[in-house]
Amino acid sequence: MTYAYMLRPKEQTFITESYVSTPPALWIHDERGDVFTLGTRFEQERDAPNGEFSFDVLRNGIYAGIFASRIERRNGKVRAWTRQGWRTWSGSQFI
Amino acid sequence: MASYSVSATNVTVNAAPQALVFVNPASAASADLSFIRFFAGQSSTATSAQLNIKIASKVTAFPTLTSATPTKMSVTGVASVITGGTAGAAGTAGTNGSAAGAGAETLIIGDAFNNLNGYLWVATPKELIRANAGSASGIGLFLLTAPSATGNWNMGCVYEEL
Repeated sequence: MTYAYMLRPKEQTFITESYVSTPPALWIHDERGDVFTLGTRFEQERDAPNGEFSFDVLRNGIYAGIFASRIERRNGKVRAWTRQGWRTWSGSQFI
Repeated sequence: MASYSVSATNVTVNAAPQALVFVNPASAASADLSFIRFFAGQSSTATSAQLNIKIASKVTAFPTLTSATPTKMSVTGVASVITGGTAGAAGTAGTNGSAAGAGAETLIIGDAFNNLNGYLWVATPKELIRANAGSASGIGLFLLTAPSATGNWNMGCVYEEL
């Protein structure tokens, strides 16, 4: 399911400060105006980070290719916590 | 287990304290509910402010709400046992409360968030919030601080029927 807040914002834009993480924040906005959110699709618990649920990572409401339990903005970059560790957004994909 | 969403988008919230979303399980013979996610956020102001929020259970008198019919997360799934309702009664769900209701509230999770970042609570596997059928109390996300900008709010929750 795609909620309105998962889409690129129309009303106002801002850049999320460093060290903000979703959850507990609802979204991460980067300097390109893109919004990163956790979607509502689950990953199998055996594939998720230990002790957490893992959801699809959405960029502007579209699946960004990985499942993660949290997304964080740090040092000007967006990264996601997966079973395999941190994956950083390169501008086109998480690597 | 089927999952359902109760949400509202781009609405104007009423004076806090107020229920943002409230779901009340049905009578005892029905399905128990397991809450996976609550969220709230706004996009009408870029002025930073801290707001208080809580997830709580509430007994009658329930809040007055805008009726919201749960949306099934699977297109081919069956409809929820919960229906839309404005009174917070058993077996109903609603969003964007307009009257808090005098019923006692039991705090489950108290929190605060920045209005620019929004609020998302997702359970870990051991933290799922269960609302048993016939429990005579609903579960809701409540905004406790009056926001400076009341427009363009999104709010909602996701639950499973067990």
